Formats: sequence, structure tokens, C-alpha cells
Amino acid sequence: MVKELVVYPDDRIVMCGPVRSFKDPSLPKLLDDIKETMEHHNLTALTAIQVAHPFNIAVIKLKDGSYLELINPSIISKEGRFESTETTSYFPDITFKIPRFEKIKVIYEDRNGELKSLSVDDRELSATIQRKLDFLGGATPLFRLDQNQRDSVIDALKSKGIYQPEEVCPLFSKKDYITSFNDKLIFLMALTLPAPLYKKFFDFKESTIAAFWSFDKYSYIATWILMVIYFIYAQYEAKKYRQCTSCQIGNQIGIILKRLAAATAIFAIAFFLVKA
Amino acid sequence: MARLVVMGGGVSGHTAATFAKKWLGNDHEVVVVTPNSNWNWIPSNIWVGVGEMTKEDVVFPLAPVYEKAGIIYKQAKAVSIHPEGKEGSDKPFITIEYTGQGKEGQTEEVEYDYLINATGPKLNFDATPGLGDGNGQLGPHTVSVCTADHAVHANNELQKIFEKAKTQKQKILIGTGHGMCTCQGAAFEYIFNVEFEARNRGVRDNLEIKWISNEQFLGDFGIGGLHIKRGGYAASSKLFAESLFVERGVDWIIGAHVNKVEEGKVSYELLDGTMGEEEFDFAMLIPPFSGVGLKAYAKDGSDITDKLFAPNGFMKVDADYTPKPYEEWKASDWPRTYQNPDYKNIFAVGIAFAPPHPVSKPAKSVNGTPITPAPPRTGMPSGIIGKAVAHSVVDLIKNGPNAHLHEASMAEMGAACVASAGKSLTKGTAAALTVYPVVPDFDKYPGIGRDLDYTFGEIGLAGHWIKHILHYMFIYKAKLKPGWTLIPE
Repeated sequence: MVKELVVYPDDRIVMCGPVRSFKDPSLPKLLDDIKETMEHHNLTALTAIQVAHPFNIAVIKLKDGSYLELINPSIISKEGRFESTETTSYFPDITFKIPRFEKIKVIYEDRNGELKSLSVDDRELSATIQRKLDFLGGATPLFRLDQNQRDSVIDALKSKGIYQPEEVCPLFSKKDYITSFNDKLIFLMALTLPAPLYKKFFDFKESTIAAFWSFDKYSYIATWILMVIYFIYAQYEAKKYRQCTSCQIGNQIGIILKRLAAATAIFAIAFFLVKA
Repeated sequence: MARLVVMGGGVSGHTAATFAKKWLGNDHEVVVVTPNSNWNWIPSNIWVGVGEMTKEDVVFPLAPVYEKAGIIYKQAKAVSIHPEGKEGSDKPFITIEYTGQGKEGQTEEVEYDYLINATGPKLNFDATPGLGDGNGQLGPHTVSVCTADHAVHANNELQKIFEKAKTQKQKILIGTGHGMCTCQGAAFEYIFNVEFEARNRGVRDNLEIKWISNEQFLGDFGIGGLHIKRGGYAASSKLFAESLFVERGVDWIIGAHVNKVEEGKVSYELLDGTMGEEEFDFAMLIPPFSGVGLKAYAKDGSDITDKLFAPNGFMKVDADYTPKPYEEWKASDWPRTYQNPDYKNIFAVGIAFAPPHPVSKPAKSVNGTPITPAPPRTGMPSGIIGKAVAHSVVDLIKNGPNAHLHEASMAEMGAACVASAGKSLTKGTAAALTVYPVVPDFDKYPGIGRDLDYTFGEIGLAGHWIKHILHYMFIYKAKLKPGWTLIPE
């Protein structure tokens, strides 16, 4: 039976588990369905997850027309690198250039559960297997792209009107405005610290120094408020993006703690130097 | 007055003994038999191994702690168990051989009412020719971070490599030294700490750092890998690990059984049956674990070791040890009470209990060599199990043999793991993961076997801070300082 292909932006692509039972009659049926789907859509390779079956199965059509069934496959060694030009049914009509290994050794199980191995010297087949194994690991080709290529793909998706902005993390997030503003506040707080010197050498008035102290107080309070807002917004944003290192809670906590520590230290020094 | 004897003073044994003593009070005796004079917070050994901590930072003397707690401490190794007593006495006992306290070499019989086996593993270096010295100890070609002393030695050798790397290329190989190893996590932490230190020392460009392991895929970690929830998505540990390896420029060999270690070279067999060799200037290879070699004897003196212990030397408990294929493995195969089926007053905790089977999918090379990570029973699970068993024993002592036994199945237990990838207050990183359950339950959670709501992870600076805080927190707890019971396992 020809199965419906999972196509971007359908996110059922991201998670699949191992095939555990080889006695289950649904396994050979699924393998046959994948092949029929490949024939129907004229595809050279397809994974079970691309037809919405969350299992570690990839089927590859070889040059001689036969099919290679890879169940629970894993690459155990690799050699050489090259840039592979690839397409995938998950992102129709989009071409990717992805760094791949030239030669690989793959272990996998056949439909009877027998462990097999395969040495692949052919670049095209090697890249195809790697692309399919990426899908089984929960990664689309976007995962392998550098930022420039990813931007190009996003532009292509936008031109098709199917771009889902939550798919990838942007280089600049709106939450960076918060930290940027806060950093400036902390910098200005630091500039008030030499107040006694300003007073001595530049004859600053008491009222000006008092204004500095007021600025420090309000900036310190503002830092805490901004960091709370930052954390709440960052949590919201983290749920939107799939690949996003700056979205990780550890980094957010680090960013917050660094600023709070800096603001607290400056405020404490200001208490003695500026307030007085 | 009942007597509980705990064999072993590691994470699980120490936890069991200290909680049991707290709950039993002075009405009953708790005896700890361990060959070590120090307690070692093993997760921090990797930092000793790169020179970021000293041995003294990760160990403390056990004697004063046990004295304060009222626990009888015997610095000795357990030699044999006599669960039926001996001729003329029905009282079960163990025989021990002292390794310290001025009684080195002396033997003694220690009677017990309840026995907890928490001996941990034997570091079976000799399972791989050349990895050991032929006498069960670490061989001359590689280093280890399994003990604090090993870690000190590892750091000494590493510093020599760093020194050489200032002027010449050096090769570093880190991973597992046998096809049936566990503790990939420790090796994983060590390789990234070495890489981090190399960068800090400005010698990274002259170092080729390579990972070798028995995992079928990067990120298996002996628990069959996991999917990590982050935000609204799930990423596999395979991608997670692979990304880190690529980002840090660390190459890898997986599905490998190291079958020989020589000066500057390891030989290995891959799952596809091919053989390979890898040269190195510095290698840290984790050895396989086995039971510590305890013997067991019946009342008439006949050897009943096979009755108490599995062939790998670990103690049989209430697990389902029926051999069965991978697809028939169930969460219910895993033990719940850790009670020996034949002798109800004997329990085994931590690494000392025999798991029913691995967690990772078993595999053999085409030559028939088993290459499968053994299941981890360390860290948080071992502490939880130790505490649960202590609870059971205390209830048995206080309420009699029909008392309800406390349960702590690894298939129903979550665990948190913090894996360091570099130690620095401002630039350090660590992967902080929670896994639920530790052993996947494919019936309850079809597909991936775990509950994604409780399986999540992050890598970043805060993870490092957590790891560092945990270092101090768990040593504080193990020293039984005020409030120690409030700190979770």
C-alpha cells in the first residue's frame, strides 16, 4: 500500500525507536509498503519515519533495482569527506549541499533480525545512507547545514509559503534586545563609580552625584526586572525553536546570573562611593 | 540486637549503611566491611585525571565518619559468604581479610542477621590482554580514572603528553577497553575534559583525540541511548553526542571490542568482523567489570557460589534471569527488592547485583564476539537502591520477616546525570540529563521506551555549575554533616 509521505512542516519526523520484534507480521508489510511508496513517488530511499511509522528502518533502492532494507542501522566507521548534493522528499524541490563521509561501514539487521554489515565505497550510496540515518536520529538535512545555507533554505521555504519560523533558531533573538539594553544600563552604572573623582577634578555638584546614585538604584532594580522578563520570554522562545543553543535553560541562567552578579557588585561599590 | 553487615563502602553501600544505622539507632548493629580506608566521590575522578582537582578533593577517610555514626568499621575485604552458618552453628557469617587497621592479612568471621552486598565491581583489566598487568591491576600501557589513585596517575601521564604537544603531534585515545564494558559516561566526560584542558593549555592543535567504544551508536551510554526533550521537541542522544564530537573535533570509532593493548597501540574488532589497530601516545580505557570474586559455601562446606552468584560474579537478586531474546525483554525482568531468592536475609545493591540482561540492544560481531555495553548501575540509581534496601532491612529487623520490602526497580526509576565536558567557572560545560525510566519500558512507553515528559537535557555552563555543586553536596552528605538526610541520592 502506498503511504502518505510526511512532508515539511509536518513535525512527526523527529523521533523514532528501535525495531524490537522481527516476528511481528506488520514489519514485512511495512517494508513492502515503503517500497511501494518509493516506487509511486519515484524515490531512491525512504525511512519509516517519513511515512509516519516511528521505527529505525531505512530502505534504499540500489542501482541494480534491488532494495536494501536497513533495520536498526548504525554507522560504525567512516572515512574521507566530500560535499554531497542532495534532495529529500521531506523538503520537496529543495537542494542541499551537505558534508558527508565518502566511505562508511554500516551494521544493520535484515527483516529476519540477522545482524549484517555493509561497506560502502560509492559516494552517492554513502551519502544516501547517511541522510536516511540522520532522519532516524531525528535530524532533517537542516541539521547539517551551516547558517548561510540554512538561510537559503529558509528563503526557499518562505517563497513556497510553507516556512515555519519555529523550525530553526535565528542568529539574533528578540531576547537579545533585553540583554543588550541591560548591558548598557550596567555599563552606565559602572561609569558613575568614579563619582568622588568627578567631584574632585571636575567639580560636579552634589545634586549631580545624587542623580548618579538615583540612576544606580533604579538601574539595579531595572536589572532584576529585566532579567525576570528575559527568563520568561526566553522560556517562551525555547519552545518555538528546535535547534537553538542560546535557548537552553542553562545558558539562560548563566546569562542572568552574570548580569545580576555584575549589577550587584557595581551597586554595592556605588553604595560606598556614589551615595556618600 | 540484630546485626546488619554491609560489604562495601561505595555509593550504594555507604548509603545503605548510614541510613540503616540512622533508622535502627543503637538498638542494633551495623557493620561495614570495605577494603578501602577512604570514601571516593568517583564522578569527580575525571577532574583529578586532568589536574583540575587533587586526590584529596575527592576522597575522605571513612573511619571518623563511621565512628561518629556508631557504625562498626572493618577495613577488610570480604572473602566468602556462609549463608547457612557452619557445622555446629546456624548463624550465617562472612569471612573477611583485613587490609588495614593494623590487622593486615588477618582473617575473621563476621556473623550477620542481614547482609547487604555492595562490593561494587572488580576492575577486570586482565579481560583484555595488555590492558591489565596479569595480576588484576592496571597494565603499563594505558591509564584509568576508575579510582582516585588511577586518576592521579592518569593526570601525571596526561601532563607529559601536554608538554610534548607543545612541540610535536600527539595522539590521545579514550574510551572502553573491551566489548562488554559499561561506564561509557565516565570515558565520555574524560575525553571532553581532556579536550577542554588541551585548548586551555594551547596545545589542542597538536593533539589528535579519538574516541573508541563498544556502543553501537554514539550516545548509547549503555542505556540504549535516549531521546531528550528540549523545548517542545525531542532530539536523540545520538545526534546530541555526534554534534558535540564534531563541534569539539573529536573523531570516533564505535562498535569496537578492544582485544589487545600493546605499547602505543590497541587492536580491536568491529561489529562487522573487521580488525583494526589504533596507535596512541596516551590512552585511557575503561576496563570491563565483573564481580569481586566472592565465594559462597553451604553449611556442609560445599561450594554454592553458583547458587548465589551469576556467572559474571554479580549476586543474583529478584530479577528474571531467564535467557530470552531482546524483543522479549521486559521492564518486569529487572529486580525490585534486590533480595536474593534463596537467602531472604541477603540483598545486593549498586553494581554488585546481577542485572537480568543489558539495556542496550545486544550485538555480536560476525565472528561471534559479543560487543554490547553492559548496563550501568552507578550514581543516582545505586544510591536510591541502597537506601531502599536499607529501608527494607530496617523494616525486617523491626517488624519481623513478613515486613513489606521497599522497591526500587530501575525500570520504574528516573535518574539525573550530569556529564562534564570541561571544568571552568566561566567557560565550563556539562550535559545535564534526566532519564525516566533508566531501563526503558516499551510496554508502558511504546516506541522509545521512556517518558519524554521526564527525559530532558541541556548542555551548558549551568550544567557545569550543577556538577561542581553536586561534588561538594554529595561529599557533604557522605560525611554525614548536619542535614545530610535532606540531600537526595
